[in-house]
Amino acid sequence: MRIRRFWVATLTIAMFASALTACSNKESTTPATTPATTVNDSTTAGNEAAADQTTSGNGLVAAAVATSNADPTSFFPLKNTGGGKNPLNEIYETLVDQDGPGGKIYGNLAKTWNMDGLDLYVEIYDNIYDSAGNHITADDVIYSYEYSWSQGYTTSKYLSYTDGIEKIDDYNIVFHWKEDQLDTYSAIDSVLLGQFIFSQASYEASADGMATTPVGTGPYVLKDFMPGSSAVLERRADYWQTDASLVGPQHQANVQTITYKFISDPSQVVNALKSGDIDYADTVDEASLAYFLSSGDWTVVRTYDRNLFCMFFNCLDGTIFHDMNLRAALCYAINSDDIVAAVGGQDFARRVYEYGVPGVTNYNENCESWENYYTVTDLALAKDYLAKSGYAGQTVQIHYYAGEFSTYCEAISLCIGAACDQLGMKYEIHPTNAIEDVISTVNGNWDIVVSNVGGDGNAVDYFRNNFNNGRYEGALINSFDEKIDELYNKTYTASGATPENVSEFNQYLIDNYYVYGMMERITSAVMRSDLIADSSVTTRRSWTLPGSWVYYVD
Amino acid sequence: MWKYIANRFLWMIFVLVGTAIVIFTIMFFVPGDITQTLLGFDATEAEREVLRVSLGLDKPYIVQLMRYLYNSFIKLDFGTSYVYNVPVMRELLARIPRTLMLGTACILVNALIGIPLGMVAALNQNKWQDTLCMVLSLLFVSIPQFWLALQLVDIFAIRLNWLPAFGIGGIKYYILPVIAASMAGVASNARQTRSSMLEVVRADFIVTARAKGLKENQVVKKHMLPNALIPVVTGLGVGLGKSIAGSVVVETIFTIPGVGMYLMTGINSKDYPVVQGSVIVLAFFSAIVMLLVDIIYAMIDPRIKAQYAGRTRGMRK
Repeated sequence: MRIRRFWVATLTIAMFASALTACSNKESTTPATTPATTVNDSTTAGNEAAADQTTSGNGLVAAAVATSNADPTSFFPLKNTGGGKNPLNEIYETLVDQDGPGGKIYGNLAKTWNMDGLDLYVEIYDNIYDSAGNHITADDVIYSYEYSWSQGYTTSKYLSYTDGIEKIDDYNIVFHWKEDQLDTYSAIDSVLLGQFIFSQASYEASADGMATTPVGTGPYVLKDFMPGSSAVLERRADYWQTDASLVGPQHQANVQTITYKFISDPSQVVNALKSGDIDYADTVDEASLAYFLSSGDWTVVRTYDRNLFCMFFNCLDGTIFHDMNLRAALCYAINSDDIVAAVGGQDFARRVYEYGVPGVTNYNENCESWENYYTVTDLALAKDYLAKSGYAGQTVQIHYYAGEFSTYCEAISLCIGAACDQLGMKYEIHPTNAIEDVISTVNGNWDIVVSNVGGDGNAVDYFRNNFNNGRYEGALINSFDEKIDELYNKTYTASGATPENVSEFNQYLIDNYYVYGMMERITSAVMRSDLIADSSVTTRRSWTLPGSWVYYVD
Repeated sequence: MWKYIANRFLWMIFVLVGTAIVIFTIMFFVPGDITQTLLGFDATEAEREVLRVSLGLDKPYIVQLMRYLYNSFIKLDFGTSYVYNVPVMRELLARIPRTLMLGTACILVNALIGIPLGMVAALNQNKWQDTLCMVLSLLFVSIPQFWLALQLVDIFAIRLNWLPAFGIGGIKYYILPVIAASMAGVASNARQTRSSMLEVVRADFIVTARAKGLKENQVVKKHMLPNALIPVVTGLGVGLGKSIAGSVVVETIFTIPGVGMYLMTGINSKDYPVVQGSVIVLAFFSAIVMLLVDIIYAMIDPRIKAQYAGRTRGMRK
């Protein structure tokens, strides 16, 4: 009886609580309209492609193309970095753009831009309209920057470098630069390149911040989106830039429909190519490449992806690698050719000769003939250094980044372990998803970290992530060598980013055996030979842009 | 019986609240920083702090927990995904039907193939039929799910071009995923059914039923099966719960945007609202499945129904 009364009382209280809550002023939790329905397979191009032709600026046409892609998860314009975000670059635009990594910067929404003292003046075109028909003015540009920053999304970093942005008239704005940021490396480019511009009216009209209903100024609109499955983009007939000579290489619309299929399993990507479900895949694993290489129906395109894989030592006081002789010993025992072989051979990676990759701006080709541990593997010399060091049998803790490139980092770690074996050093290998937790000075229980560093086409970019004191509260090496800080502050500036300074920095790293740049990844993209003629146009971050590819016609 | 069901529903609330507290606490104390994922490696600590404040992640544990419990159970709002930028509830409502379809189809296949296989094995114990059935079930339980999935794709999608290799759409998109996901369940069901049937087949009441002159078909259907099915029903129920919660392998391989993939993405990217919301929803479905299993027990076995009724009668005193 008592138990029955207890349950009756509980239910009654619950009912009253629900009634009171229903009366309160709460945000709607009603789900929005059901997301996009099933992808129509008829959007994929088969061998009978180019039946419906669309003309583009260069005269080449195609109907539709399908490509595998990581899931962008959302078309939210404030988040435009990270895996899978390339479709956003077909829908949204920035003030200026860059013709690939390290390429020429050209105006996109910006007609002109110039620095005058501490003020950066930007004039935008007066005929920009987004896909909802909203006219883009200076107010929208300012809104895009300020709203993004207010929400904590700092991709453009504009408030890091400026004291704000101001409207001059409907098509002119000015960024007031901070004096101490005037010489910051690529600051102006970051501000103008980093922020998608969108209409305030479109953004406020969207129920979910344009996450599933993006409205941009780009040459494509989103027609269908199934998170976790696919996205379909259609070419805009009313793209605002009608002067073909002013449409940049990254803003072409050479194909009517682009279908992105989010296939997570690498073997399913291969199956999708073979079955014709997709026409292009940007990374195919080595085991499957042989099939495509031997088939005339497919073109395999190999690209150096500017991803530098490297090894850092923990050189703090009290650590085993504080001893330079021990660092030298391990460096001379490692052979970069073995590392390239371990990750699949010369079709999948190439060795590097400094902390940087060949072919980028400010790269010093002479480093390939310097005589140091990059070009010399000498076990006897390594053992000499080991004998001079104070190594007393401690276990070397090797941590590698187990994120997107874990197979490469793991293979490199195993090669480092093999080198330790040759020297008689004990070691343990640990994968980690949070490399910053490992290398922070707060948690010092690491000796070697193996990770990858990306760059945007300039040798200076590779210093940015791991030598920046502001990033890791002491970073990897700065905390015990002030010279590194000095070299970083000298090189990572607009005026200091020169081949001489980069070489000086690299020589210092080599002389002190602080870091070992091991390899650069080579990716293999596979595409249909009869459809895609050229897929080399990419964003500044090397992301694919199917709209800008060149296609064959019937 | 209805009182028993109502009682179970009320206990479910406590189970769900407890699950929510546990999962929130785990996600709160797990190392890692969502702002790193959202802003990328270029972001400085100051920039990450700004985002942390805007997402409400700077508040103390108890404040965040209370806010989370209030939003989840009173407002039925699991928050907005940091990665997808859409309300978690909305995304779950879109994905649950796909996962449920996959899970339900798997259980149907489990039942339709596994139970007859087990029955044939039990009724022909130590004969070639028994051996064949057990070898098949051993094979099914040994084959890794992902390997089977890829082999099915290679044969039926690539070579024969009969079925699609991945994606979602009509019924044909679910055939290969269901086969890949259900084979292990078929095997364990078959073995469970065989084992239960063997316990029943030599019972006195079966001898009596045969002695009364009933046909073997009727003996099996009306007397053997109901008694043998209790543990099998439990297995099917647990299997349904596992199919709904653990379908991530099949969903990943076949690119089915279901709850499993959603949860995995949330875990990998430290998307707290997605993980918390998904776990609560999965816990809810698991509790419902267990309740359904108990109701089916009562339908199969009148003794159990009487037990439920007796339990609630005792409560009234």
